[in-house]
Amino acid sequence: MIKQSRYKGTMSFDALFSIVPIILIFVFLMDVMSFVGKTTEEASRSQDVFDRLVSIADYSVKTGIVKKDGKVSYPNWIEENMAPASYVENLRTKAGLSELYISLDEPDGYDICIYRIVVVGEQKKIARLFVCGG
Amino acid sequence: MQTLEATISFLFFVWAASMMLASFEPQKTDHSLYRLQLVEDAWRVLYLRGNFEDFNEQKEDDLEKEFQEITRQTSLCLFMDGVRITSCRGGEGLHEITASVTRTVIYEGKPKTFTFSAGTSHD
Repeated sequence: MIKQSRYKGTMSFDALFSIVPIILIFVFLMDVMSFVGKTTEEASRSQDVFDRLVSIADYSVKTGIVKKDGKVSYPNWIEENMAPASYVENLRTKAGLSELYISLDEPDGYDICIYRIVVVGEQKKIARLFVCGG
Repeated sequence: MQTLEATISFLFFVWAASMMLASFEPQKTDHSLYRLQLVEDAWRVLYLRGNFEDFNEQKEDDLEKEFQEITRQTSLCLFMDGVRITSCRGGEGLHEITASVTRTVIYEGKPKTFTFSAGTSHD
């Protein structure tokens, strides 16, 4: 005849109740880890896109769309309607961005947007060149 | 007794978890290079518009107007040390300098080095 412990039922009940908080703590920790990971990833992606836009803007105001007189180019001096769609599309592809906007007009609806200070046209009017993307 | 222990442990855990989450700060985007580029842009634009040709005391008022135009468009507060020209509110200098560059120009016939800064102005 096998002897059974008279406390067996009580111990199982105790174990059952201790597992519940352990599971809750585990789920909570997983949530925290997920939140931290997601936030860090978003910040990293944001910095990456920002750096690409800074590079594109710098290239554009120093070489890409500046006024040229023979072999002489004038950084920060651009003509109106200076960024044709083909130029923007070419840069967007090379930079690996899903969207890119380059214009003197301030846009709406872009996550990350920067501007550079330029002069425009023969009157050298002060303006902002917006470079936005994502 | 066990309930009391469990409650204390739970409260400690909640406190520790809250502190851990509160101390977590996501990495902020680094704008330092971009800020420097903006200051250099402002200087370059002023140069292209001829503000430093035959630069002397009489041209300082015109330069200040140019500063104000850039500030109006960008909200950047500009300050040029050496001639004390500024577009910062109150004219008392910058609240926080975001970037500075030094440039040498001919001022009243002699080369003179200026520190050109941008930042946020006093409110």
